Amino acid sequence: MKVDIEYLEKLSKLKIDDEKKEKFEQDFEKILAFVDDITKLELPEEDKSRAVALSQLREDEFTQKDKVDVLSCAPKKKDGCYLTPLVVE
Amino acid sequence: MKEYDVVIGLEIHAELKTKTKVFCSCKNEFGSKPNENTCPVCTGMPGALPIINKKAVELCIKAGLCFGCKISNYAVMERKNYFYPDLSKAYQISQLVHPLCIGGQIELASGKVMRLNRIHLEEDAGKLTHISKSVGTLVDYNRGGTPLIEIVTEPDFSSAEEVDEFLKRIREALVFADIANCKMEEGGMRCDVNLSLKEKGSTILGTRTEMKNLNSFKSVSRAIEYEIKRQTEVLNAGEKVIQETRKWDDAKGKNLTMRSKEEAQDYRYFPDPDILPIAISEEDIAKIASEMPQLPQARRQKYVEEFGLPKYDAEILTTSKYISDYFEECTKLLNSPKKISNWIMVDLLKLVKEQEEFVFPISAQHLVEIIKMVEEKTINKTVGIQLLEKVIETRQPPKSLADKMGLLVTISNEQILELLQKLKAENTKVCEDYKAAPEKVVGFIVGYVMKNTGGKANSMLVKQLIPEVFG
Amino acid sequence: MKFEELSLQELVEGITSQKFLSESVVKYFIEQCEKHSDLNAIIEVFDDAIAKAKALDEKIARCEKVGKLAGVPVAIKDIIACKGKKMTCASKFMKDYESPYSATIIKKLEAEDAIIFARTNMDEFAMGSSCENSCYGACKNSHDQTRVSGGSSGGSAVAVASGLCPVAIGTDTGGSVRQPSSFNGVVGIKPTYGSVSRFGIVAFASSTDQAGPITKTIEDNEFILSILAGKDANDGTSIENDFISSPTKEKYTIGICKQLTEKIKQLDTYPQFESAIHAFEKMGYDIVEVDVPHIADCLACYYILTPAEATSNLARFDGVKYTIRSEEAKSLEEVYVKSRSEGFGEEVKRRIMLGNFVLSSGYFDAYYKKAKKLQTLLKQEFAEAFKHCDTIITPTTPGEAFEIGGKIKDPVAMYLEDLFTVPASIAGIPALSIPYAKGKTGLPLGLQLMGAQKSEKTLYDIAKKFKQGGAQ
Repeated sequence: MKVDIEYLEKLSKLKIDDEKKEKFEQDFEKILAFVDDITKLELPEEDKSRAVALSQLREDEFTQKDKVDVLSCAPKKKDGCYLTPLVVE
Repeated sequence: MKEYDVVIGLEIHAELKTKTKVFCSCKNEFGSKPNENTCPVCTGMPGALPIINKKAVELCIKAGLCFGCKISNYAVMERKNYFYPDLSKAYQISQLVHPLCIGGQIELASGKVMRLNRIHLEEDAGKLTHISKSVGTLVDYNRGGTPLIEIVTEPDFSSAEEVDEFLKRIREALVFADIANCKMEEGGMRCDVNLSLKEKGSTILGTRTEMKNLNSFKSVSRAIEYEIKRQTEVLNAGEKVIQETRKWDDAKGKNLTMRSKEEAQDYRYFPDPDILPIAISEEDIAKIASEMPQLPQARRQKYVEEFGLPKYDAEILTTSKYISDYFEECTKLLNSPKKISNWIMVDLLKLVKEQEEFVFPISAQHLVEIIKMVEEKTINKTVGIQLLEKVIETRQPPKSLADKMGLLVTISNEQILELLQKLKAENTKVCEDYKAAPEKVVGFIVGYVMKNTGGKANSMLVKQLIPEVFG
Repeated sequence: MKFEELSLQELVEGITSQKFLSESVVKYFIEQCEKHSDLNAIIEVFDDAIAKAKALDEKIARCEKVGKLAGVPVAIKDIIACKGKKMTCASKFMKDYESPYSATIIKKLEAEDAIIFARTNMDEFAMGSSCENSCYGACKNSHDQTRVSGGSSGGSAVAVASGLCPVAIGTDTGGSVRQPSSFNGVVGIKPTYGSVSRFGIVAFASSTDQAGPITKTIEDNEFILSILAGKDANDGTSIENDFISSPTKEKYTIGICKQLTEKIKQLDTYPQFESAIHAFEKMGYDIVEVDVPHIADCLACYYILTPAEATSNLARFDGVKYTIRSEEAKSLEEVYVKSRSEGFGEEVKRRIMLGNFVLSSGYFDAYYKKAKKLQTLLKQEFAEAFKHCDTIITPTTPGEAFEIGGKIKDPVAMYLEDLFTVPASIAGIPALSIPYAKGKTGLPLGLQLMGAQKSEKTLYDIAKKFKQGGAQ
């Protein structure tokens, strides 16, 4: 199968180096050939038994937690916020 | 020039009234310092896992019950994957294949039925503040993880008016059932509009656009009018409408392209493996249904049909659950709906004017007591209003307060008869006039008595006693 | 004293009876780590470990009550969050990250007074079967430095095998505890899915990730798992698994999977496996052939489902919140693309893109949905098979540890390493690897025992009896 590597790069927010691209594509096609078998299987419907009852879900109660400094490892921060380059909407 | 039919569908988001966020136990509230109400879960730290909030699920089900949706017995949270800085995990936990609520409908005043496609539960994103090119954009996750419901409609709308009425119906129900605050200006309720035109009578749908950033009821209406006009012009010029997302600019009164279909997102939804599917039993649904208040539309119908109130009164009395509940409490104590309605609409509401959230400064019991006193003529309406003010001020029971203040009618039959005798003696013209046409002078005679008793006489009684002296 | 020769119980007894100090034990293992740094198993020894050991010794001296792991040094895979400690997932993308909170299992270990003293090498974000995909360089096999340690929890397995720590915690998605345990001659388990909380463990593939202990002995392993296991309010997929109180039997029925027989017979290590079967026979156990008709499809299923989850789980590493950010990034798009392209290694990139492929519009039904259905079927097939036997045994790995550099260029060859370990991961069942033989070149081989859900006690008991039987 031929794969649109550029589209996958876009979805993944990744750029594969040009010199590695060819091998990457070959490997990718090998992997897909390897997993392809199951696409042909006739299979029963997905299991719905592992569901959790509504009553078992978390109660809506605020619990005092250890204060965590979520910004402690931010590569850039300002005024208590994470900072990114200006986002143009 | 061709004529077109307008086809509109809506996606409405409302923030749910929970104490904590939908996937962590951080406070669900605003106004805090940036990133104050956050934790590893809602900032998407490595290793953190979501734990779904029961109340959020229940409120979504409740919303479904408001609009006659079918409630699913098996609901699945899914991941909607896309990169954006306001989305801490680079995916939004939402629902696609197995939403909590399916279908449903709302009937407009015209009788036209607007169908819902679904209502599902999802999380809100954080807030971005765009400073400048040199500084950049600030990311605050306080709002991230706030529970939202998304109400998706079928494309049943054909005008801005229909959309406006529908949105108001949605809002009043959600507010009434204590599901959401729906403050549109604060982002508590948001509406995206999908709009297309098709040739009149045709069954072939035109290309639609999606409009975002509609922050008030008014901007929704304006944006729809604008977009209808824009698409009409495009089509009339022989061009094609492009499938795209357009952003409404309220200040400029127009919308602009945000992204076209070529840039359309591939969200790669799949079931969130961190959250087990939720099993909802018939008992769960029955329990939530039993906690549902009667909704405004049903209440209005009751007020008009059972209580005989004018439609206008019914509208006003159902503007909030609080007012409506207050009114109904009063009617249980005194079976005079119209009188109670008058007091609430004329005398109470003006006291709380402009306030968003209020309680009336007088209990239903006390109000009813005052209304009864006026009805039984132990005080007149003017005195009643004075008494109302005094009760609000002192918080004392109306009867004893009126007594203390000497407001009660204390003039005896003898005193009234005495005054009537006096008038008869002083004013022979009245006697003659009375004999000729009693109804013409009754008012004058009553007025005389009232004047001479400082308004404390019971006017009904005076009327009854007049024939004894003048007859 | 050679502390690595003591069992965990002996260590705890020695420390609590003040025969020796926790401080001495911790110092001893730190010295071992330094002495064997060429193995590249340990990434960092935590600088507060000795102080913590001293504090514990003082607590014991004051006759205060202490936990079940009092003073025992524990090494953790570099993917488990420990408050205030670095955690990099062996990725240069996370080189400066310090976790601001602790994983549930760290809290559990600390509640029993264990000393978390070091973090171990691994394949980047747990993706790999050789521990070569690490920004710290490959971890080497404890028996032969030219061979791989196995992966992804290679550092944890080597650390235990080489006596650098008495116990290490690994994580297993498709065999990442069992395969390196097999390659290094130690005991490792992947518990029933959900038994051990995943909270605070960086997710690779959420529906198959499970942490498990790596130890020298089966008894130690059981002991540690009993501490790690339990339902956690912070992990919605966690379950109660009180395996320790399950009953044991005198004799067990050993299952051999019919659909794997041919594959196993072709292996170089078949004679060793055959002799294990004979050993069970000698112990008087019944050997039965059982059916798991789709077991051979597990690998394909695994390499669809886990990249799909990984692609989404790893999207949060975006250069905005806690990873490094590319210095060249000028725009938001560049922050994403440049940071991620610079930060992630090749195998991680491959799996992210593979995951996006199987999730993307037009392929989702053919791949992801199919794989989910296959997973349902496999669970049913295994459940049926365990009606006829107490365990299904396989070799843990196709062969001995391979040479460093031997398979790294060929992803599919590397994926085939997981052939025997992946089925238990897909089915969410427990699987234990114990050392049982030597291969042609004298390197250790592991025997895998798979069991029904929550049957860990049975697996440990069979393994213990097998070891005793083997000694006869």
